[in-house]
Amino acid sequence: MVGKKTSLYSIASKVRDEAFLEGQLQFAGSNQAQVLDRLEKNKNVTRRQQLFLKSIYGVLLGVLPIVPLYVYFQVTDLLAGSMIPVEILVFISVMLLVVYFGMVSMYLLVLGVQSVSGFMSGEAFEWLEVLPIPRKDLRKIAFIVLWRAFDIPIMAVVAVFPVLMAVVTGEIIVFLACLVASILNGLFLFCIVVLISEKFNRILKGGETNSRKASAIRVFAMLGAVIAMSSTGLVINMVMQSMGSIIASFAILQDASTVNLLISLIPFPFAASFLVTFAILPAGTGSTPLITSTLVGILILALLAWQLYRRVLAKLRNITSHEARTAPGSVKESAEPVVMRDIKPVPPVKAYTRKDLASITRDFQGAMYLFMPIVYPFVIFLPALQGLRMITGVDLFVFAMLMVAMLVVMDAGMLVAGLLGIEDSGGSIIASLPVVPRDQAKGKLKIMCTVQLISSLLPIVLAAGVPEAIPLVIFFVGYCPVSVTVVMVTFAVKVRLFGKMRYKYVLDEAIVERKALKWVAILAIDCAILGGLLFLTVLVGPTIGTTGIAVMIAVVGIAGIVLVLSILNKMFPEMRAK
Amino acid sequence: MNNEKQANDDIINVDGLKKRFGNVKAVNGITFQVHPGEVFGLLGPNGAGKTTTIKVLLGLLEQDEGIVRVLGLDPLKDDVLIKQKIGYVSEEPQIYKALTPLELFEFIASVRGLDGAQVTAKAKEYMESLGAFEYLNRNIATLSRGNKQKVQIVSALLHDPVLLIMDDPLLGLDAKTVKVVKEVIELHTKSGGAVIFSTHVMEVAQELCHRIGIINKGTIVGMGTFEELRKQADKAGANLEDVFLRLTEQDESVNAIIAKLRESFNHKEKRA
Repeated sequence: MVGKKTSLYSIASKVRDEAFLEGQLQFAGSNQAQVLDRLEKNKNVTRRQQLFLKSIYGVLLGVLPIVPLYVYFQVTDLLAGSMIPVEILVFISVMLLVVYFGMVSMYLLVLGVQSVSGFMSGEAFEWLEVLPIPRKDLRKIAFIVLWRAFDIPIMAVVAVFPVLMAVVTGEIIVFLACLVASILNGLFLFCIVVLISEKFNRILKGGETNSRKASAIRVFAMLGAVIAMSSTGLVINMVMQSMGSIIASFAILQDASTVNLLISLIPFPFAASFLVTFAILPAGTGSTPLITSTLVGILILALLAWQLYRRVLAKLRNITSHEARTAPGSVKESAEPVVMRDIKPVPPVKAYTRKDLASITRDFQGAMYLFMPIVYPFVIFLPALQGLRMITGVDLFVFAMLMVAMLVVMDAGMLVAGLLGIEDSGGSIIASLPVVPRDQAKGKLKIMCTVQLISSLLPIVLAAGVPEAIPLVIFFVGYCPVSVTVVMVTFAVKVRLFGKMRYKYVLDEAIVERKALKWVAILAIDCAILGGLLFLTVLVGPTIGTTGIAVMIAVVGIAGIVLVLSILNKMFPEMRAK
Repeated sequence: MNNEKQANDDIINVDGLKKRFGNVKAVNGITFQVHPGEVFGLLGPNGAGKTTTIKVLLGLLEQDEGIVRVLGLDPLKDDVLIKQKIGYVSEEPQIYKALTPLELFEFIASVRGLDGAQVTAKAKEYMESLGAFEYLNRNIATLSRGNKQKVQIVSALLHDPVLLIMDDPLLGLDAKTVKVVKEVIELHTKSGGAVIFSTHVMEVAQELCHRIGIINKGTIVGMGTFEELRKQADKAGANLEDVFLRLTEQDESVNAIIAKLRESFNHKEKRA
């Protein structure tokens, strides 16, 4: 049997998978078992997730250049039709481009940290170091892995902006200026992402993984990624809408030449913004001192990027060396003495609630299930408010009902899946404890209903800002009992389908067969309930009016709660250990 | 009459237990008892049916046939009552990883309705004894396998259980902790408690267990004290490992594998 020598690229792909998994485990916190379980079920899951996330991040970063394109149109309009002095125009253009580069840096940081962090622990190299691979090859592998961890998003950041501008303006000079700005800013930002990721990694891998710092990093990464993914269109829209007021506030300035000179020397994000501005404005727009200071700023940016790049190289050398990774000072040990406080038992229901809240908020994926229902109202209702302005009366209520129904079904599914899923990690403990399912169910229902209620009340806050949507406030209040009913129904049906044993119902998945089909059935039941309510509203709405609809929905919701509570009471009878 | 009284006194009474998963007979009619003050070893190769048996005892799985009584109660109907009096240590420490050991003990004390002061003292004593006190406030997810196992063992002892069900509890523990856990088991049985103990390490089983049941392909192939097992295997003077391999009919295949390996290594030596 003759062994074939594996290429560095092929080795790097294995390390990349390992680094990605390491990052997922770090950010999963307590949910590590579920990450590993998914991997066990599908060995390609790591690769698929990497490609999926990179593609999504690439699309998000590739969409952002709409902002500078809009800036270009604004600036050319101002140039053609107004009496604004040139230096003020330059200042306005720079400020608008700074918004774009600021957005790029925020997105890169938020999306990049999780992708790069796992790699920076160096653990993916532990095994490679014991194999007969020369040290310089290890560094090459590290380069390839780092590049492939974030290649699509970086290419999107560097390429889309200049190409888009070149296509629209048809000018090679604009393309070149945007390309230089993109490359320098991209390199500068990516190096910062790598260095921050390395710092985050040290905290996440340090002695106190459960520390406030580690939790804050997880929440930052989680919320940041979720918000970035779900609201890019909204953010771009808001930025473009606010450009008018930015222009108006700067247009009244008398003179900006000194300010321009000073800020053009600031390498990021100003120097590159000046460079792009000079490219899109007619030749000879900028004064010689301003062009000179811009070039100096660009030079400083290039030097800074180069310095940061060298620091990244040094970090790469360290992560491929076990000796450097474990050198004194590289691992921060907690020096605090262990203090044992008194154990204070609480009633079982409270204990389950506390345990569930701790479990779900201390891990990345668990927290998603809890936070997403809070984020959804913003994602669904902010864009929909535009549509609401055009509808009135019963139609307004029907339209809002469709929106809320979508929100309620998504929230209920996420909350039930999330809160019932966390028991997996404590299998041994649950197996040995005298668990009374009624207490367990109460603990979880308290959390689910609270979050569902908050999620249902948030549209009131959002609607309050739109005068035409004020009548909806009464509708949203009336709908709250329905939201609570739906989450309780989802919970009851889930337990009925997955947890029916001979003598009792359990919250664990005792019957795991036909999982997907069961979930379809659960969501279908939710949709049927809400569809029925919608039908009723359309049927009697014109007769009873908007207030009548709100009252009717509230009554149906309260009746639903009473009915589901009695069903749950039968499923989980009172039972006490003697 | 005496037999009936004995059955009532048994901590565990399993009679003709059968459990199948689809077409696979995981447990095929096993019968055994565990008496007070006894460490009962449940040994068997991987996939023999040990863990399935333990899960039935805990009321986590429903048996297809047979009678199962733990502390005189039916695990399916009375699991809550049974679990008030038993402690369970699983092979794989699946304990809430998001919590710290201290938070976990507080959760357990709350669900079991234990006294705060007593449970604090016990948790401190056991964590110190097992050399895990310094990890009290660490996230369980960050602990090594051995330290997770220590936390699991402490969790099983906090309420002074009558019965300890231990599925390979010494796996991943250092020598000092192994010694301490063995001592805990001995003290537990001396005070009238019982232990059902599963392991793959024959030396440990030989040292700890008063009686052993060897299970293979879902059936009991040998049961009794170590001496009784030697007689059943017709292996006078042999250690438990050899007795186990004979009773589970693995001795010949093991000898064949060893012979093949020796031949392979001899061949390499000649080449060198």
